Amino acid sequence: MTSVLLWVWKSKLLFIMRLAFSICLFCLLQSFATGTFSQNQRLSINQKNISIEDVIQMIEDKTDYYFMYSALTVDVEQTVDIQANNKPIAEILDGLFKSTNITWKMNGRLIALSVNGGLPSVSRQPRNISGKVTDTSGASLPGVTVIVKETSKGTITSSDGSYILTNIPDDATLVFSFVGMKTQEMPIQGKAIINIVLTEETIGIEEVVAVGYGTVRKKDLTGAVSQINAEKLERESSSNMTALLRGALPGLNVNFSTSAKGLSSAGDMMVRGQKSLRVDASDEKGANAPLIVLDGMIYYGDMSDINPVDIETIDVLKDASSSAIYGARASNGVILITTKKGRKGKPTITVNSSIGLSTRSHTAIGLMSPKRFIDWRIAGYESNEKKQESKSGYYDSPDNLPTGVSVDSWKAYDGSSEASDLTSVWLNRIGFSTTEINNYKEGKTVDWEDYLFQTGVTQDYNVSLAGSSDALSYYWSLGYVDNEGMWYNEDFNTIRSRINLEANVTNWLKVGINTQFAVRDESSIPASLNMYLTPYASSYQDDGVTLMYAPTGNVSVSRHPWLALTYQDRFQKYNNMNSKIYATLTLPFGFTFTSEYIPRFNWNRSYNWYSAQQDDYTAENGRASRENTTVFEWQVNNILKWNRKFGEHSFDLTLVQNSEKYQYWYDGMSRNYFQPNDYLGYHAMQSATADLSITSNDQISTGAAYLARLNYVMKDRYMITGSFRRDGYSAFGQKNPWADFGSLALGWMISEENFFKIKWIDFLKIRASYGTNGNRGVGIYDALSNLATGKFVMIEDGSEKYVSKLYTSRMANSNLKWERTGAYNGGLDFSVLKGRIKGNFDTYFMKTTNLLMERQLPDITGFASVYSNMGQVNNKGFELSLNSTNIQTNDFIWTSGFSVAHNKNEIIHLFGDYTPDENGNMKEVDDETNEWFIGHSTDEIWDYKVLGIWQTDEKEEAAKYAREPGDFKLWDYDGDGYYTNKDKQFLGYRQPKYRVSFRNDFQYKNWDFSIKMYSYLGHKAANNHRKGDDSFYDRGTAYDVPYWTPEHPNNRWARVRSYESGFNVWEDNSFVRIDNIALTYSLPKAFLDGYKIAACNISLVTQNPYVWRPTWDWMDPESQGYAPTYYSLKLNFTL
Amino acid sequence: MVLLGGGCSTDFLEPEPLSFYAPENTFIDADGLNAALVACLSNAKNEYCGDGTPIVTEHVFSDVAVEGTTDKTGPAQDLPAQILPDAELNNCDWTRIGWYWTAGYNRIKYANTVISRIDNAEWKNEAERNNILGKAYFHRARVYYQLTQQFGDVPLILEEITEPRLDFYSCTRKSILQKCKKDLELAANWVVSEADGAPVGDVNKAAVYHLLAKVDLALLDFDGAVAAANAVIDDGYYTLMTERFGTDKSDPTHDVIWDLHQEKNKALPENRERIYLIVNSESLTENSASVKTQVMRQTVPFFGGSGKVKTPTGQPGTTDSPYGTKVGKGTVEYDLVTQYGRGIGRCRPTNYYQYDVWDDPDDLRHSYPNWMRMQDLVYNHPNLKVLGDPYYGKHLQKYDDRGNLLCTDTIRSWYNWPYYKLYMEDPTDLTPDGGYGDWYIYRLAETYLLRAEAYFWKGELTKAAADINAVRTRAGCAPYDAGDINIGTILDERARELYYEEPRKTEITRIAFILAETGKPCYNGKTYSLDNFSENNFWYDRVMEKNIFYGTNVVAPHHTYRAAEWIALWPIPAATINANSLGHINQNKGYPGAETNLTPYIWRDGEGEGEIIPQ
Repeated sequence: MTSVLLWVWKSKLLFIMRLAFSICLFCLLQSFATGTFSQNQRLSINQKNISIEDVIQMIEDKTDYYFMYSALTVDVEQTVDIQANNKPIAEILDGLFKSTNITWKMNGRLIALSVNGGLPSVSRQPRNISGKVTDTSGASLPGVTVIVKETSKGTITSSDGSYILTNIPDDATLVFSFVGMKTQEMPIQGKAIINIVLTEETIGIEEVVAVGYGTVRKKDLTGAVSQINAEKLERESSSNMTALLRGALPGLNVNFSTSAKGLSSAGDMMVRGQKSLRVDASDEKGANAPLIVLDGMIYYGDMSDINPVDIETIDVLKDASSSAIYGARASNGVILITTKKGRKGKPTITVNSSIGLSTRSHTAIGLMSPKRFIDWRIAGYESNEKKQESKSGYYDSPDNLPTGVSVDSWKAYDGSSEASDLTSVWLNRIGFSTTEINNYKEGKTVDWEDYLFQTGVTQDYNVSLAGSSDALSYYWSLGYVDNEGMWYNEDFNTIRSRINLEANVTNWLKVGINTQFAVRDESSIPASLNMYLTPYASSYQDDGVTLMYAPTGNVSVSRHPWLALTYQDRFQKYNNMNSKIYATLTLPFGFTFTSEYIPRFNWNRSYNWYSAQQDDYTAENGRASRENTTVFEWQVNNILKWNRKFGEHSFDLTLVQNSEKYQYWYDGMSRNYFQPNDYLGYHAMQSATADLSITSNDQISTGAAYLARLNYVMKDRYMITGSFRRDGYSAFGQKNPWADFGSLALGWMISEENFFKIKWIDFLKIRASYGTNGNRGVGIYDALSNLATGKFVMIEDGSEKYVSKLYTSRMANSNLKWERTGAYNGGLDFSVLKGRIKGNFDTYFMKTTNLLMERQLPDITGFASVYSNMGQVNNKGFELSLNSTNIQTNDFIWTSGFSVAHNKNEIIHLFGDYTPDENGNMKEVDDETNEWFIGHSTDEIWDYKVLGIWQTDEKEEAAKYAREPGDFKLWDYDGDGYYTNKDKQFLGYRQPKYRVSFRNDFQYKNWDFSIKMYSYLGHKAANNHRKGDDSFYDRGTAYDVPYWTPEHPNNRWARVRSYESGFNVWEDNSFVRIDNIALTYSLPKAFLDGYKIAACNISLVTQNPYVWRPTWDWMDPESQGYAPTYYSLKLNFTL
Repeated sequence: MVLLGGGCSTDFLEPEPLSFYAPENTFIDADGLNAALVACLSNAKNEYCGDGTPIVTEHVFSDVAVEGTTDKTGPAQDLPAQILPDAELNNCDWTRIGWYWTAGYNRIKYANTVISRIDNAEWKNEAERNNILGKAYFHRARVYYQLTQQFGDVPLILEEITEPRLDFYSCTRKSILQKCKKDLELAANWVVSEADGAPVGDVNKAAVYHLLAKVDLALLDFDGAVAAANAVIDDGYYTLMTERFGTDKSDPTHDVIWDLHQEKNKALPENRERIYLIVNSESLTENSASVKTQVMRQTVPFFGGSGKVKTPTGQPGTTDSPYGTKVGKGTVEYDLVTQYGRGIGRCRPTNYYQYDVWDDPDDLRHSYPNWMRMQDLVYNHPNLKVLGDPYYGKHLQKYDDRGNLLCTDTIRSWYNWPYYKLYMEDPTDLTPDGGYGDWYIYRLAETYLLRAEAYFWKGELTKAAADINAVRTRAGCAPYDAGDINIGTILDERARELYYEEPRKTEITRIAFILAETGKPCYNGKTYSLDNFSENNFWYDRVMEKNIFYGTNVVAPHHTYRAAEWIALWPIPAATINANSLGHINQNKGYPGAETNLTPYIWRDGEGEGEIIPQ
């Protein structure tokens, strides 16, 4: 393989050339190492009149050494005689070249050849250059752009990969670029034939990583950054980018979504642990939400507005040093999303289409079957009404009476002696309505799951156009998603478009725009499950068309699951536009200056009409509401950069000035009593005659920042990054708007050192960082006192009228300020066994102080809490990520990715209030109301310990606690006969101790197969369904799960409608999920070439096919309810 | 092209509220501070409105009712097992003890805002200022009066709290009441009377005096109580309604008792029995300006439950579907639910209130159609008609001819109730819960009964009898003799007249304290003392005597009804005690946590609001 790779090697080239070489060398060694390597290999070669090329071939075949040379300068076709018996390689080489002008140099396993005498003579004569471009497998590459650098001259390779350029100056450099391949530059240096092998762009040490307001080579990185690239994303099938991130990176936790839309909010993701004591992750304050940065703009929009096909890379900044540049909001980590740019070359059109199905996953638990339902009803009555009704067999069917009970005596129990309709007597006793009794007699049942769920169709179509010339690069995409969910009538659709343009106006001015536009439609109203839909109910009225308002006949609880979707008209649309407009000036002395203007617009409409045709709204003759929300937000960044190398020292300085303003306008109205009728719904609010509410709420917030960052790299192996940021935010604007943050990080590429002699380690870098970051996750006005307004009615002069009501609903805190996290991170990046295994290990310690939290107040103050800065929470943990190439042959490649992340936090301080403990020592006061305890973690469970179920023979003991057999037995720790807080125990953790992901990719010829699994381990969740109180036994039905009866006791599931108050039943929630399986077939290039198609592949993908949760007794362990499984067929092609 | 934001100036980062008011620029005049007092009125309204209405809790901790929702484990039935400081104390399906605590202190906060800022505002004259101040004092005193009868010693807060405070101590019940008396005496001088234009729905002078009478009783100042009651009864504006009036005036099937409690009559100018009224409106409902009372949901029997009420033929007899609804194969013709409301039997009257207390057969309050028995309802289930069942349209029966019980849950689904008072039209609800209607908080009949009680304690039994008789005879009863009067007969008359109006537990505990403090012998032959109030008190004896659920430990599906002596005072919510980490709030004896109690603080009169100091 090596012999096809040509390179220029000159020992006396400039430092820069050596640098480039060593990088390439590194990659090469990473990429092609196979077999075992031994420094002291010996070899025997005895040949006469053999070409040097053949000798090289022999050495390569028999040893681990590789040769590198330029066939244009080094004449390997000359023949030599060679005689070597069990000689070291060095000796053989000396002998081989002694009669030639070739010198050799060994660097690790690579042997570089060059011609004596330094630089070849450079002719300035223009000449014709030709050659052939191939990929690493030797296949010719058509369509490669070949450009003479710094000119507009160029061509494109023909179908056999060959090219010809005429009249090219000798000192010119050719640039070879092709989609999906690394761009290569090649100086002509007198050659007439230049053959080039383009390597695919892969993730490796060479990868560039975004670090905020810039990029850095991964090898120069000093912080903890994880990256995934687009190629991986494309294998999977999801229209929501967050699904791709789930389980993809260690230390990034992404919530599970069950909706057709997928996740919306950054608050559904968390980097490393919970730093804030606030868990309001899903609200707009996002106390633990990572910062999302989309193409350099801080992104507050909806996650589902970002089209995954537009994404080039996603970088997650985890440690303080990496994220310090975003200091303001970065204490929860930063997710940087970079979208695609046009690549050099001809315009390409890429089409991604996916069509699939969504269904309930295998973990779904249905409602009880008719037979089980009746048993459950009887058990419910017997369990709950036995004190009132203890007559033997009272609730039993007359066909199934206990021994000793005659039908006559059974009938007489409730005065039904004269009754001849025994079925009705019986069913009346177990709460059947007339409707249900009639259906029972007629043998009619309804399977409500048919009404509640559907097999949804998911569709996702995208087309993009991309390309680039020297002057302009362009990327435009348009996508349409229509996802039906697992719930009946659940539907989400969105149209998304993106334009990324960048123009090099002159050699000193570059301008560009990145714009994303999305229209989301969330109008669909899914069927709604309620537990009062029994199997013997009726779904339609006698006409067979009109829905039953109350299917069981019980108007107070039973509701048809289709009522809302039939009688309510909802219009809920979100139009969002995000844009970045920028210009970059290239200045002398390595300076560049960029100015960015980033506007974001949201226009959201939520309109509802509740038709008077539905019984609930008949009396008020219909109800309708309109809500409009507009958001306009802008950010401005002015960025000055300086990038300069002085010998072994290279500097990269970034200075940024930032300011932002957020404006929000909301207006809503809700009216009823429409006249003459409500047929126009929310389109004619003026035809309503009464107001339910008219509301407006406008908000403004502002922020500003100044920051500086310096990267310094010495000798390519010592790196240092320092940053400073000063941040201002209007929510703290009364006294403490500004805060300062900083960071320092060090990196050492120890494997580059001469003394580093561990041969099986190819690469080793040590990183260490410390930094501080801020969190401003409070409401815009949380520091201000707020007068809540309301209305009230009084009668003056005989007429009712509104009077105004005002009360203070929020205590002011003018001292409110930034929450601050100081974080240490230590990390290792390594590659061992010739690149077979690569990985990263990071360990961290984070100390969050001045926690922004709602400090609990005694409720007698009239305030439940006040926003304050107090306390301290520490987080520590580690992340390990390993990528291995398990098998690599010409036809078959098997790679694995494994990661594990662990985080644990601890509350160190809360309010700083101390009281003496039992021993008289001062002890900081816990917050029992919020279940925060000093020395414990924020997610620790503090509750009564469930010991099991009270059994029949424990009746008397249970009665002391006002419980009965079949109820949960809780531990009365202090034995005082009451369940009080003193009996509560620490029972485990809500957050997983370990999050593990495991991904395998197999490639066999044109087939790719990947399987992604992840697992959360060592945490608990409440499974209160075991209390048997999901519904009332006399009106409802139940999930198809076990329950306790005296005849069939157990120690896990309580009796029907057991004592449920005041405690939770905790279960181990550990699980392993197969998250994604994809099988892809790529059509052969040879076949596609005939149709001028660059690439085409077809995939079968399934998401969430299986989850294994041995200790969890309920449905999906993450959603803790129904969860979807998706199957899709994808077709992608590029023209 | 350099784009600059305003990042450089400090003004840029100043917070800018757009859609809400700030106290500093709002509480500066009569309008602003009156709006703060409207918050007090609105808070007070919630005692009688909404689901799980707090006034139900006042009733189930007394002799007149119990929690009747038998289908869940939350409702307070087994009081010693369920009523604990750590338990859920503010939930419509458990109890509203916690509502009285939290909402009470919220109302105190609203009132204190006005009291603390009274001199920061601009006033036209002293009368304007003191009317507002007096109303604030009324609201605060009314909360403290109730809290001290519910919880005993509680923290006393007399000023607006603008910074975090966690250092509160309990203050003695007695000294809190003394502060209330002082404040109410000032208020009585200044608060505008209805005659002088106080709006209906707001506090007025008579309401202040009415409350002062209660506070005086609690302070054993019986003369003061008589004087305060006189100020209402004798002022010439108020009078018991003895003549027909209002919307049904000319309907001969009704009477003045009916008229008095019809929703549309409560606010009428000619209704001079009304002192302090909650005003709701079916049309003015924006922003929760009006709140549904949900009175039927709380108080009416749960007759709609499937098969709860059967015919002697064993068929489900009743349905709560409204007129014209298809039920099974039939259609509802007798619309019980619209006529009576859809009850869930939460406030389930005791036999004492249903039967025993009614000592006069002519009592209009206990006569059809004011008073409704289950037997007055008819079997309305459409399926009966489909089946040709002979009982369709006939009156309900509790037993069949053989004596078999026909109702499976007589706690929740079979009892009698004062329909005249507990029905409130709910036009927008298919299964009416009780609509946006007015509700009496103070009514002159109670002022008479308060004065009767003051006379009783003074030993002036003839005058006491006269006051009780004023109320009794209006309802068509024969008068009592002076010899009939004891605290039991006064409580009986209060039960008959003020069901679902008075805070019954508060009033019984107040009387229990009076008996304990005075040591006067009680009609039950016992005497009481403050020293062992939590072990031996009149509240417990009265409840056990009259409420057979607790008295005989009736067994419900989830609980056995039990009471205990210490529950005379409710537990201080543990969350408050825990959050108050720099002070100490005492727990009431009998509950876990009382072992760490400290000597409570006292209020001492002084400049301004006086001071709260350790004893």
